[in-house]
Amino acid sequence: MKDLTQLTAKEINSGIKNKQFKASEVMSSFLEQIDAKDKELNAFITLNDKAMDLANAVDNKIASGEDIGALGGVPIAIKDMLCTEGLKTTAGSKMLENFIPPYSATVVNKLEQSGAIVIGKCNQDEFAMGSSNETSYYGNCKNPWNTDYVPGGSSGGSAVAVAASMAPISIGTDTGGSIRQPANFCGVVGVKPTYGRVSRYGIIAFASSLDQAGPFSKTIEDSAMVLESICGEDPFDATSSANTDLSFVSSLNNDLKGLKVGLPKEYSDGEIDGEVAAAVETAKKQLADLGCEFVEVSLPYTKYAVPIYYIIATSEASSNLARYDGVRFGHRADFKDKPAADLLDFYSRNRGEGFGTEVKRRITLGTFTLSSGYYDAYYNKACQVRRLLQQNFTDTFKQCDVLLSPVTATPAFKIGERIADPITMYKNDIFTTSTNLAGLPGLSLPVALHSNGLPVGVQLTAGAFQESHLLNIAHKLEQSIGFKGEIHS
Amino acid sequence: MDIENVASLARLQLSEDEKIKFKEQMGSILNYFEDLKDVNTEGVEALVTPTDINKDYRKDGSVSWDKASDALEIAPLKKGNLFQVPPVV
Repeated sequence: MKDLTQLTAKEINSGIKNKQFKASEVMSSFLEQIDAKDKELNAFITLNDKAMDLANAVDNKIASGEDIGALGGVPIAIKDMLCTEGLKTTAGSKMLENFIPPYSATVVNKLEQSGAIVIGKCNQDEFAMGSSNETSYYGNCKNPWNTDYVPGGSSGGSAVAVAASMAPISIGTDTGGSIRQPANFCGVVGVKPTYGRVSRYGIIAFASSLDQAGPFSKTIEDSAMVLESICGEDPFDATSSANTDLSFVSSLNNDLKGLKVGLPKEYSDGEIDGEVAAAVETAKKQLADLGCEFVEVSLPYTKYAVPIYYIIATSEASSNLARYDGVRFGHRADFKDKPAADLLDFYSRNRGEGFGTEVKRRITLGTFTLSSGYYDAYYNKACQVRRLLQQNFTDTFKQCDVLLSPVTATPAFKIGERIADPITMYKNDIFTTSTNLAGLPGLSLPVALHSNGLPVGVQLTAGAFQESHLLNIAHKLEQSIGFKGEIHS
Repeated sequence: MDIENVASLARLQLSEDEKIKFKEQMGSILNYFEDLKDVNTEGVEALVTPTDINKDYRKDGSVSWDKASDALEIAPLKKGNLFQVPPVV
């Protein structure tokens, strides 16, 4: 039989429906792959010990002629940022080392309603704060193309799970590039939907005005299928959108003739690796052959995106992470030998022990930028420039349908190379943060292999709620590029 | 930045090493943020969330939840149906 771990989610679902193979065979193939690979890669924090039982239940449904759903029998890996009822959810932090959620995120519920089976929970930067997966309390996750390199972050484990065929699809979260950047570093597809497309209910909050969950997959079509499952309004999230245009799969093969692709002037400035720039050129040439037209656009405010992002994200994080006080759940320090001096000491010690360095750095920064006397100069100022930046994008999408750019200036970097210098690490997000600030959908699509053996992709960004366009263009581009993400190791 | 004061506002115990390192790093991070001062934002309304928020408020009522015992199960310390904390005064 063909190696089931090399199949797409669509092929797995239809193979099970057509009785070519069983859901239980699919699940055991992926579990064997995890067993063989994950000791080295460290993409999973927790495996779901009910996964085999759930696969058997799908086989029983097939035997009795029941519908198994669009993702029926498909294993899915979930970033440890999303609550899964009864299954440990750590956010990559010591703070939540023993946290077993009493409820699931809406995204997880929706995937399960479509028949997908949670195979395990993925490694990530602690509370999604990082771009290399090096801030995880559970150890570095490694890039399967070369284990000396980072997989990217914060959704590093979710990207690696798909790249190393330990799951056909996975879910990550993207606050400033945390899906698109690791997808780019690992040679897989990663999609960040429009803000509001996907309910944030049950997703551990980092920066609420920026966070969105989205899929990783080997093909655009698989991501479109996952998005059709997880998007939609949710009464538990007031920022979720009632927009009902969810015809992502049926739009994939639309003709691209006459579509306008914007090339942001500012995204070709600066220090971009020559082969990264060449990947953008390759994509441009393929899109031209598909009938697209090109227009140079200017987004002058994007040069402020990284400072705006780090002020807003840390401010929101300092507020969101205030809930971890060690009272009802989460890490509690040992007060037996050294009793708490007062309530402040009790909270401070629980939090000081439970959070890692990067999280403490960002809480400190965000507390400062929101504090009396500094709020206007930092937080409010950043929100004002954010509006100008969003207006920049709104105006730009009057001239074009989609933007083409690099995802990052370089391919993956080495483990340990940037972790000591926060600003260098933060600047890594230069091409991705604007998308979150403006609330737009974006994706990363693998294009080529760099001469150093690591994958390089391109980023496509569309106007708000234009996922159908975005996925259509990416699907056609994917077909004409024909990148094969097979890792030879 | 007065690190000790900010850490106290954040209810965050920092080690001596962290205080020294953060103080230095915050200086360069805040310096990096200085670029924003060049932007004229007079009269610009702050953008706090990128899309319109659903303004339909839900009915103000109680909803029953049957997972209270699961929620208690993950408490660091509990006594009966209560979350337990050490003496803090």
